Amino acid sequence: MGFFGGRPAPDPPHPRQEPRLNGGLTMENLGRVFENCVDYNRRSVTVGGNEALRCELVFIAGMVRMERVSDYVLRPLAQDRELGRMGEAVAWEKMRSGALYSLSVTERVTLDQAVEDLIDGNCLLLFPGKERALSFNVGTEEKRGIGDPENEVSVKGPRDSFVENLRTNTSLTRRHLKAPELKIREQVVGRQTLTPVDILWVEGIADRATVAELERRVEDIDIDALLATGNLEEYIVDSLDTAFPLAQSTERPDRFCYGLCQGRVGLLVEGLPLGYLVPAVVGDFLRTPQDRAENWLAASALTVLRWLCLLVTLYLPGLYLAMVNFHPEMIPTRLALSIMAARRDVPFSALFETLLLLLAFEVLQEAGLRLPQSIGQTVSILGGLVVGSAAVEARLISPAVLVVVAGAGIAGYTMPSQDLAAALRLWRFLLALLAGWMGLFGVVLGTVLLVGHLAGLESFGVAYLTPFAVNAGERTGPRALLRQPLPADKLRPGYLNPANRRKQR
Amino acid sequence: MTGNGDERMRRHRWALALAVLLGVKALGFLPQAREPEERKLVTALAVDGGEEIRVTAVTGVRVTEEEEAEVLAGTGPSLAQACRSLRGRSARRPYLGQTEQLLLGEAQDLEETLDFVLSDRELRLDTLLYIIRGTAGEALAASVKKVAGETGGQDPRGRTVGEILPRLAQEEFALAPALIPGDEGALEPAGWAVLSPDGVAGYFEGEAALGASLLAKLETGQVVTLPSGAVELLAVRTWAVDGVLRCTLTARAVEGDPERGELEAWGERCLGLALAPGWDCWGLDREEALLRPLTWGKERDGSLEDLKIMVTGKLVET
Repeated sequence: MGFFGGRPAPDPPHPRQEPRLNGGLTMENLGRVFENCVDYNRRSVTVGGNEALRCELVFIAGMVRMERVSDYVLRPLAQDRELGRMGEAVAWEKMRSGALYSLSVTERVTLDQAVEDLIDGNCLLLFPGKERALSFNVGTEEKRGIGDPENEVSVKGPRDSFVENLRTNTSLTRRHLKAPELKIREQVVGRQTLTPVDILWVEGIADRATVAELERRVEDIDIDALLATGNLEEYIVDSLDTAFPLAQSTERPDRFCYGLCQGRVGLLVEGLPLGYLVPAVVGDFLRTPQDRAENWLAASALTVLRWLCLLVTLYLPGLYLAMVNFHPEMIPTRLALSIMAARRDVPFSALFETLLLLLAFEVLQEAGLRLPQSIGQTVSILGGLVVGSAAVEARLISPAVLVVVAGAGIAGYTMPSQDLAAALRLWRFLLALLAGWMGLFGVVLGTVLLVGHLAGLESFGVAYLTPFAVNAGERTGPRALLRQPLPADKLRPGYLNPANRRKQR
Repeated sequence: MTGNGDERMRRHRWALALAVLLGVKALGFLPQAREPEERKLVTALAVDGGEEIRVTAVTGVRVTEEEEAEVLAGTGPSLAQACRSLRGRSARRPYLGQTEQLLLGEAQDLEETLDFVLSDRELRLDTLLYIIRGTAGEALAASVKKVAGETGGQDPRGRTVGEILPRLAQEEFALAPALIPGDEGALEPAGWAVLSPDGVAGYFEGEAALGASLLAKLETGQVVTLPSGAVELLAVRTWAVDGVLRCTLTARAVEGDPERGELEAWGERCLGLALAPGWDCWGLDREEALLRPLTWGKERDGSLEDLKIMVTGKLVET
């Protein structure tokens, strides 16, 4: 279809075959499935030295730990004379019930199951002519070590962070949250990636309806690959018509576990060093785990500061434009004279200049992120200081706009959530445009649009503006912004509809 | 309602909002943008009445810059038209929103001026109002350098239009600082002008002006020369109750060996002179009523000059 006209062709179907692989569980079929796969390995072994009793061992190199296969499967298989003296059926039963040293042994009878096990790092043992296999868990445990969280720095608190391995992440959660009520249910997402996704909640605290809803949404995901956070986030949130995050991600197990204890439901994904918590409301994105580590007064002050910074990063460029272009009487005379003097030789309008700098700020930030850390810092310094000052000296931009945009940008860096910061940056552009068009009327209009937009959002049935908007009819007062002393904070948030609200004596 | 219906309604709502905005903008209901460098900020405005009203505006400059302040003059049959005529006198549009000082010549109609400040889109109620003994425009033009560089300064004697308007409405009299052109062009204090809704009712000068300042609790820091020495006033407190105006003057000696009685006599003399014309610019009646709630609404027998004055002096060592 042409670029400008005509309806696009309807999307082709997304065919799904169940079972995925046809045929019985035989060596021939396995060989066909892994044809042209250099890492597919097959070995014929005599059981207990009995040449008449042979079995086939298959595995995928790199996915299994070789010592485990050799020492705990092959060695007893080859050296246990008792096994060789038994008949095939008895030997099979013996191997299934512990003659071979493996933590978990499962009997597989379908080709699908057997292939999935091979890919997961199991080795399979088959007797020729029998359409069944024993699957031994001998997978390699190569993974990144647990390190410090990079994006949620902790000054006074635990330093562990989630890694890419799902089982490590569930174990980290278990280590922080030892209650047997912690439930973990798994689903597989992605036709090609077959990515395990675990849903976690604390039984007796979390709202069962939220758990069921999250399970339903994960189950509904039918995609090829779950490789990025968006593959999950965009499928489980309530609305895609927003830049604001509707699910909270964290790389810190302590924060994840705190969320579970509050009555929220968690999500861990194989391959992603993050945990998700739902429902998520706007206030959640302005709190940090550090808040509970600090004195409650200091933490409250910092939370208020973050809210102020949110307003600054959102409104500063817009208010500057409105005041300079439409309402200069709002600016003190000395400042107004300075702004006028600084702008005298600048060739651009205040609106264009502000938008240009906002855009340059985004470009610099993007460049800093994409480059290696050492070069990224150089780019930031070069961009921010050298190019900025050169542009001011060359009268391409006025210093006031530079200060305004830098101030808004720095205020944005105080946001604990990068997702929220990104949404605010988008709305900052819109507010600046409206302010440049209509002055303070534009700012007010933008605010009405923003509040209307936020008021229309929900996260798993919870209003996004909670506790400012609805809060299940509960009065929160200053608690919406301030952190209470922890001994006084006795209840879980009502809007999460927890099965048990009391959280301490 | 179906999902599609919701979606359609949402789209219609956005389209309607956009159409309303564009309409409002097209009809000119929204303010017009003007780049800051296209404006000339007026920081002081002088108004002189007569057959034609003449306005003189001084534009602000940064003290650090070598740029000269600009003096613009315009005339018109009304103050609004005179101000509008300023627009053609400069390459950039004079903007009155930053006017900090409004200088009125003796002949200018006070009511028209205050009405103009109230109704004008740019002028602000926190503009300081001064009465010039003579022609305001000439005085302003003569002292242009000083005025242009004084942006944002604090004048303890200053009275804003926003302060004067309610005073006139409640007390019928209000004080405004009076200025007079000095020898070298600079404007110098010349006591207080007493404003009434009809215009300038009169002036407080000399010791009467000091008395007016004492009643306005403004003369802290003033050095008073007495026969036996000189004192610096540290604190002034005045209040009227039961027909008696009480005043407490706290001062410290700065020269000679001043006597408390002399200080009290000086205070009584100044206050007497200020009360003599009967212009209650300080709301003494209202203060008295507030101190005695039972007398609210009752007129005091006798006029302001019948108030008995009792001054208590305190000399402190610092």
